[in-house]
Amino acid sequence: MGQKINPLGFRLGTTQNHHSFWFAQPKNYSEGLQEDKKIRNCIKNYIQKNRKKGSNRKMESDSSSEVITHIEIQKEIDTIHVIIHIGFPNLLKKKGAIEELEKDLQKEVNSVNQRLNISIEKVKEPYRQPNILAEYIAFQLKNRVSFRKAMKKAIELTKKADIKGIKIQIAGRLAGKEIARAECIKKGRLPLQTIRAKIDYCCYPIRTIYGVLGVKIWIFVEEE
Amino acid sequence: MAAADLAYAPPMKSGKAGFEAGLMDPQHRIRITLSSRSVKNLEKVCGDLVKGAKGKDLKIKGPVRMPTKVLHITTRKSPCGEGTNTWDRFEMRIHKRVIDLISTPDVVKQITSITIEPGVEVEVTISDA
Repeated sequence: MGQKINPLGFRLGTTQNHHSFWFAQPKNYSEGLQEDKKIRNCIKNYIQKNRKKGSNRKMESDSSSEVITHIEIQKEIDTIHVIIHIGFPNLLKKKGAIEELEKDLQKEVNSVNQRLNISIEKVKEPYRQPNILAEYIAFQLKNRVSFRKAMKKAIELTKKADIKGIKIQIAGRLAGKEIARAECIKKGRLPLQTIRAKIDYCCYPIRTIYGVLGVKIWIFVEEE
Repeated sequence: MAAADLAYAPPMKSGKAGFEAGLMDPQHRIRITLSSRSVKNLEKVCGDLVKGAKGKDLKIKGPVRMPTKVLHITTRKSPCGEGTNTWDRFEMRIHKRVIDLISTPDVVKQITSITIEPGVEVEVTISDA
C-alpha cells in the first residue's frame, strides 16, 4: 500500500483555490498567518458556544445545525473580508449574531487600521460537501448507531445531490473493539490521480469514549 | 501693452507664491510596484493601471516584469525519522511588476483607488522629477 497525498493540496494550482487569498512580503507573512489562524479559531469557537446554548434547551444537538465548510479570508489594504461558507445557516440568521461575531473578531485581531467585513454564504448543495457529511456521521456515531449504517445513511444523503463518486473511510476503535481497524465504503468512480477531476476531501476526528475515530471522505464532484 | 498682457494671461490662483506659469503643476516621478502570488490578478491590475493612465494622457513606462522569486521550503515528509527519506518541496512564487508614471500625485491616487484586486500588493513611491 502506498501513501495518498491530500487531494486538496494536490490540486491547488488548478481545480482547487486557496482559502486565504492575500499577499504579504516574506517579512510580514507570519503576522498575517497568525491573524488568519485567530480569525478561524474565533469563528469556530463562536459557533460551538452557540450550539451548546441552543442544545441546552432541547437536550439534543440538531444534526442539521451549522456546519462551516470553509472560511475564506481576503485581505486588502484597509479591509479584511471574511466569507463564511455554511451549510445550514440557522443560528447566524438571527439578527444580532453577525454583529456579535464582528465584535469578537475585532477583539481577537486587535486591528486598528483594518475594518472587518464578514459575509455569510449558504452552500448550494450541502450534501455535496464532505464537511457536512462528516458532521452527520459524527452525530450518528455519538448516538451509538453502528458505523456501517452511519456510512450507508450518509451515502444515501448524497444520492439526491449529483455526485459521481464517493468514498468514506472510518478508522479507529470501531464499535469500541480493542483492535483498531479501518473500514471503507466506495460508490461510483474516484479518480484520485486525475488532476482536472474536482475532488473534495475532508478529514474529521470524532471523539468517542473509546478514543478517536478518524473519518475521511472523498467526493468526486465533476470532471473539469 | 501691459493691459493686453493682462487680458491674455490665464486665470491666476490668488495669492500663491511660486506659481509656475502654464498648465503644469509640479510633476513627480511615481513608481508603482505591484507584487502578487497569482499572475492573472496581477496582469489584470497592471492592464487597468496602464489603461487608466493612458486615458489621462500621462507619460507611462509600461509594466516592467521583474524576475519571479521562488521561495522554497523543503521538509521531510515523515513525522519520525523512519522510512525512505522522502522530502516535500513546497514553493511560493512572487511576481513583481513595476510601472513608472510622470504626473501629479492626485491623479495617481485616483487611478490606484479604482483598481484593487485581492491578493495584489501595491506600493507607490514618489520622487520629485
